[in-house]
Amino acid sequence: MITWQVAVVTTGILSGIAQSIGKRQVSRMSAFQSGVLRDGTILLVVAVVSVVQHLYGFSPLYLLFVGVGILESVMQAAYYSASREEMAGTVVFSYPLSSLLIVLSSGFLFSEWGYFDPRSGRGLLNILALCLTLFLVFFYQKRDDTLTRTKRFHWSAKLLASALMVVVANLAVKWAVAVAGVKPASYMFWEYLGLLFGGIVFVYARGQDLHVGRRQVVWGIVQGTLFAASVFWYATLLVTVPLSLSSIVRRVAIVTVTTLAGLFVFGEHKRINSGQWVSLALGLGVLAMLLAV
Amino acid sequence: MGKIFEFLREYGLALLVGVVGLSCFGYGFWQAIAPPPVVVEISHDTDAESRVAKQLVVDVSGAVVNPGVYTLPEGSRVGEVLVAAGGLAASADHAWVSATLNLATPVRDGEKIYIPANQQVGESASQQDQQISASAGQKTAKVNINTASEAELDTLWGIGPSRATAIVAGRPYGTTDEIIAKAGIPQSVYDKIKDAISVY
Repeated sequence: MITWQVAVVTTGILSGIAQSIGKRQVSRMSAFQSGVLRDGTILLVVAVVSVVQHLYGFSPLYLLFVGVGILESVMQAAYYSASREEMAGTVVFSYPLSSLLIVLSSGFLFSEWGYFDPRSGRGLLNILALCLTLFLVFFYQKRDDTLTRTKRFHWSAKLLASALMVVVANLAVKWAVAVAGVKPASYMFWEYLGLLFGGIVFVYARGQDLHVGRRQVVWGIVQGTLFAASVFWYATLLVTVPLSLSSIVRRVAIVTVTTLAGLFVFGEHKRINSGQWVSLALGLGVLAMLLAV
Repeated sequence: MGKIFEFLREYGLALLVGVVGLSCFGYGFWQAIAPPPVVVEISHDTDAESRVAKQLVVDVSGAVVNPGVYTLPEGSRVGEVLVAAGGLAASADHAWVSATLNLATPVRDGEKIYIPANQQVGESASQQDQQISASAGQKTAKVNINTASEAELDTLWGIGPSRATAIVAGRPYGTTDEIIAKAGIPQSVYDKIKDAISVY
């Protein structure tokens, strides 16, 4: 029987691998096309799970999840746009902000303050892990200061919106599965329906289409399947697991695996700077700390 | 103006998709926080069945004023059945009723209640319970205010012709003390005669 921390790390590893595949894919097609391919596969996997679990029918409540999905697609577009302007800063800005906001909001909404109570040893350890996570992404990539002041404002606004959407999506899934009693497969189906709808609109609005090479489709399906497994497992865990802690564990696992994959799979060791090595060490340290709790 | 067009050209689509997303989100959120609707189910057939099920049909025979089959509410007791049947007849053995019949017993649907007359009780008492019969014989019969004639009522302490007429007019009585309210008998008179009267 594995602990929830190990289970969350595993979901993070799966997402990290999927993200690494996506990183490889974007050099061959646009991020929007890759996103649609991934979200379409996730929707298909979740639809099969829903049929197996006999989760049919529709409730007006599900429109909330469709709305979350559509808004996520908009914020995803904002994230892609911001990362085109400056990739390094995007990671530095949005990752710690969303992590911090998730911890604060889940503490407020789901009464998870107890996990960060500085009067207990465990609480202190969790606070330390949170701080290290924030540092981790600062070291992840060097910041590019070539943006003009106006562009930097637009860039910041896009990333702020994107980070807020990550928070809303996390709170929505936690509320749905832990408070409203919605099955994870049902939640994911409607959320990814909205995401796919938004993604397709953006692809065609940009004058692109969904005709990508067969090889890309295969990799897209692999990426989507890994993401589907990861998100479904994570959503199932959230029924009982605290969102604040698990979001840190998952986030650190994703960043660490993406860095390790770049290092060992994509041969990026020559391009990895000292900051990223520090970030990798911090990531492994945070994981070890949280898993030891 | 030019800046607005430029902004809309760049972000118009995102705004449009965002509005669609927000609309779905808002409607779903409203559904999530709205109190569940109150559902009132009306089923006439069920009501009719429950009404029928809540009634009892009892056969009353023997020494009662109006023997027959009576329909009474569920939970009725033997005493209420006897009131419905007009009370005990003059020939009924009051001693047997007092000693044997528990007036507080709830009646069952389809039950038969038989009140023996004086002579019958004498016969059965010798066979069943000599003791009850003996004690019943020593007791003085009470005047049934539901069935007694005005002349019989006139024999009671404090009851004259006019009060006897008022008692007959106030029938039926479920309990003896109802003659205070229904027939206007003073409390002091009732206290004097309450042991001499009955409703069965």
